[in-house]
Amino acid sequence: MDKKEELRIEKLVSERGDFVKKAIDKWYEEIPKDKLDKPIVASLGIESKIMTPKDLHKELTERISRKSVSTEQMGLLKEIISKYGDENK
Amino acid sequence: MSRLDVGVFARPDWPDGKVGNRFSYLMDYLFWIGNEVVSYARMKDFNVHELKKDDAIRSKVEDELEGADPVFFFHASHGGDNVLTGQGMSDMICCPGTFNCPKPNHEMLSDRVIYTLSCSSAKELGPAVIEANGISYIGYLPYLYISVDEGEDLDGAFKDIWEGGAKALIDGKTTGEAYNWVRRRYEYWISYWENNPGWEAPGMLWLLKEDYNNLKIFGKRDARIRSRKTIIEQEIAET
Repeated sequence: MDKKEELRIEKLVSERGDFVKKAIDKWYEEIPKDKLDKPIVASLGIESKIMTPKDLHKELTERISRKSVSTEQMGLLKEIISKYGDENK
Repeated sequence: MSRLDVGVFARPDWPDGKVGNRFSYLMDYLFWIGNEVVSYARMKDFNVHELKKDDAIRSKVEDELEGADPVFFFHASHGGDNVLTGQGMSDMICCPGTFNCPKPNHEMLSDRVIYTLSCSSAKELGPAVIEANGISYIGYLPYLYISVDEGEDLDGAFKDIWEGGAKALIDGKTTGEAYNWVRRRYEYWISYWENNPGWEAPGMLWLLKEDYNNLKIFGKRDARIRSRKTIIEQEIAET
């Protein structure tokens, strides 16, 4: 993701947090219940991360309330907003 | 000169992070992908020196690199800026840098082509290996992500991309061609998920785009790990 996109996401989180939160919730609602606690994402670093949809939803929600999304997860947020954001405009 | 048609395949597998989907642990996914690469290499008459699980440790890797003198080094495990890990997250190959590396051994990878499925090592280790006369280094910076959700188009997509890059080299493609193949395969799966309406799409697009952007190549792009003779023989056998 380029800097311009990162700035757009940062601006959205900062100025329209409710809109972003609704998009995340809409995505989360579509996930089958039996998948919520199963890992879906992992990274292969020395300090590797393994995350479930519930972990991702919790972290994104917390960060939006603090208006501070990590660079690492900005890409996920961009994809969620692209897919689920329009319905909440 | 390192030997063409010969490779060391370092494939640790230990209970690292609990997953519990297709496989129990995260390392099992890399082991699964590595199994396919090694089987393919054997099928293509590539001389395979496999170090798996408890054998995937520094001393044995060094012995194999010295003894077999392979042109190809395949690694699939966790990584850091200046380190490729072995069994149990042990330090297998490292150069001076971010993480403690009391005994740098990256020069063991000089005159070789390296294909690693791990995080971050393209930051410090990749350039250091090329500086030490390594031929080519294909790795990732900063992260290498995988979907651990089960499905042909989920964890299977990463298997397809990652094993395909190694297979391209084993087929006799140049390092540049293999790198481009991997990029095109990421593009294929990104396009697939851009046209998929499922809830998995945002996560898959995120991971695939990150890996696509994080894929790096250093060193020569015209190097091969197969001898001309083998490539011609295989072409004849396939016609």
